Amino acid sequence: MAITSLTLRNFRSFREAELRLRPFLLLVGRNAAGKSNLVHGFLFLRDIARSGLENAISLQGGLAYLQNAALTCGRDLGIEIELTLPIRMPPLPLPDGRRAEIVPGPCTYAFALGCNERAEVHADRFAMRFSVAVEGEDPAPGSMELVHEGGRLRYALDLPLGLDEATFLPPALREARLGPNALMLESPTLYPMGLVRRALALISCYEFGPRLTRRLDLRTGAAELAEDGSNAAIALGRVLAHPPEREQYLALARDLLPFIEDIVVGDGPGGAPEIRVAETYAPGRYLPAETLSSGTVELFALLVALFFSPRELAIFEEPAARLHPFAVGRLVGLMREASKVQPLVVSTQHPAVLRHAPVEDVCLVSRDADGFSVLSRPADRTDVQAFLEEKVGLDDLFLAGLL
Amino acid sequence: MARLNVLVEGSDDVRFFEHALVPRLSERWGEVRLIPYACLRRTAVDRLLLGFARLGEPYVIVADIDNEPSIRAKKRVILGRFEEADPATIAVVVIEIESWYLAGADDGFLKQAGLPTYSSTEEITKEAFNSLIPRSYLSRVGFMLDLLDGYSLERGAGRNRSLAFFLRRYAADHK
Repeated sequence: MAITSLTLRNFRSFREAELRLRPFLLLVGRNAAGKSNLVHGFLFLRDIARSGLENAISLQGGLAYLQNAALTCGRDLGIEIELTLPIRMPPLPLPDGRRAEIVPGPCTYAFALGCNERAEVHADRFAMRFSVAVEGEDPAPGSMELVHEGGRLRYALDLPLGLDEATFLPPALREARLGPNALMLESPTLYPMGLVRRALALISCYEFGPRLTRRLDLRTGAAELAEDGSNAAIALGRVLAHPPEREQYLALARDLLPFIEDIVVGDGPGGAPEIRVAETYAPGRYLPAETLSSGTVELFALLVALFFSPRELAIFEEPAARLHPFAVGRLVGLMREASKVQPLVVSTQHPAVLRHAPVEDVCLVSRDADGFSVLSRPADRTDVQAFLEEKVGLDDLFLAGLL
Repeated sequence: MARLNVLVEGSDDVRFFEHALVPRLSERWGEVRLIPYACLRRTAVDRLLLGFARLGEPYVIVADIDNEPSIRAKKRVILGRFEEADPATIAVVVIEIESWYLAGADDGFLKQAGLPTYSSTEEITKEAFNSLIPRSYLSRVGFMLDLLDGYSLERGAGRNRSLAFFLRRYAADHK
C-alpha cells in the first residue's frame, strides 16, 4: 500500500483527525457525520496532483467551503499524508569502497494553507526515512527532508556511513523551480515529489448513483471507468475484448448474479456502445442494459472498478445502496479480495455491509459535542469488544447506535 | 460516574428521552446512552444485555404497557421476549410514551391548542393522542416537538405515576 495515513486540520467538518488506512477500510457513520468530508480530503490531494492547487480549491467550491465554518479564519488549513514510495536506487559507493543498498522507509508530505482572500502556502514539507544496508552490518538509519519556503527549496540530508550527499542526491535532481504560492505537489519534476504526485493522482472515488442505466448513452469516452460509471459500457467493452479478462469478469459477475449466462458490449441505437445480457432463463436472448435494474448495472460497473481498473487507492461511496442483502455479502467478499491488489475505502451506512466486515476494518465517523467530525476505531473500545464477545453483530451495534 | 444504557422501543421514545429526560438523567449518570431496540432481533437484544453484564454497566428497558392488565404482566411479557432481562431493570410506561409526552406539556400551550389539561394521562392511548393533534399540524412529530417545548418533568410526574416512578428510580434529585 502506498498511502498509509491522512491527517486533516481545519478541513471541512474536521478540526483535526488522522485516518490510518488498511487494505480494506469501511467508513461508517450517520448522515452528516463527515464521511464525505473525509473522502474530500483524499480528493483535494488528488485534484492538486492532477490539476494544481488553484483548480483543486475551485473544484471543492472555493476556500470558504474547504475550511471549517466554526473555526476562526486565522487558522491554517493543513493536510498531511504518510506513504511509502516505490523508490529504487542503484547501490551507492561508500568512501571505503563498499557499496550500500538504500531501503526506503515511510515518507511524510504535509502542507498548510493560510486562508485569506486567496490560499497562501504557509508550509510545504516532505520527509523520508530510509536505512542504509551494507553487507555484514546492521542497517543504519538516514533521512531526507525537503522544505519549500516562498519558492525556495532546501534539502536536508542525514546520511550515515559517510555516504556522500552528491552521490545520494545528484545536484541535477535538486534543480526545480516553484512559484512562491505553489505546492511541491504540483511539480512533476521535483524529486521525489513526482512520485508522490503520481501516487495521489491515481486516487479514484466511485459513486454510481441511481438510474445508472439511463446514463449509459455515451458514444465516446475514456477507456478507464469514469467515477460516476457513465462510460461503463465503454469500460466494460475494453475488459470483455480480451478473452482471459472476459472469462474472469464473467466468473465474478455470475458469482454475484447466478442467472447471468453471458454479457457482451455491442452497438446500440445511434452507434453508442451498449451492454447486453443473456440470462440462463432465456439462453441466447440478449437484453439491453436499459431493461436491467440499476443495481444490476451498478454491479457490472463495480466489478470493473474493483478488478480491472488498478488504482493507488479506490474509494467507493455507498456501493451497496441498491443491492439485495444477499448480494451485499458477496460484494463485501469480492471487495476484500480486490483489496489485496489495490487498497479500498468504502463509505457506507448500510448495516448489511457491516454484517460481513471484521471490526478491525471499521472506522467510525461521528460528530463531537462541538460539532467537529471525529474518527474512532470500534475495535479499540472495550464496550464494543464485550458486545462482540457476546456475539452481537456489528450491524446490530450500528443499528442500536452503539458503535 | 457510571454510564446508564436506556433501551427504548422506537423513534418517538428516543425523541422524548433526548429532549425531556436525558438532561435530567445526566445529572446523575456520567453518560446516558439511548438504544432503540424495536429494530433489533430478540437475540441481538439478549446479547446486548449480556454485554452490559460483562461490562458491569447498568441498563433499563423501557416498554409501553399497551394492552397488558398490569405492570407485572407487562414485565412477564418482556421477560418472555428477552431471556437475559432482569425484572428489576424493566420500566413500564403507562400507557404509552404518548402519555408521557402529554403529561408534562405546558398548560399554556395545551390551552392555546384547544386541548384539555389532564389531571392524569394514564389512560391516554396512542389512538387517543392522535385524535388530539390539531388539524394545523402536518405531522404528529411536529406536535410532539411542540409538547416538548416548555416541558416540565415535575408536572409530568404529577400527572403520570409511571413517569414519576422512572424519575425516582433513575434521576438524581427528583423527589
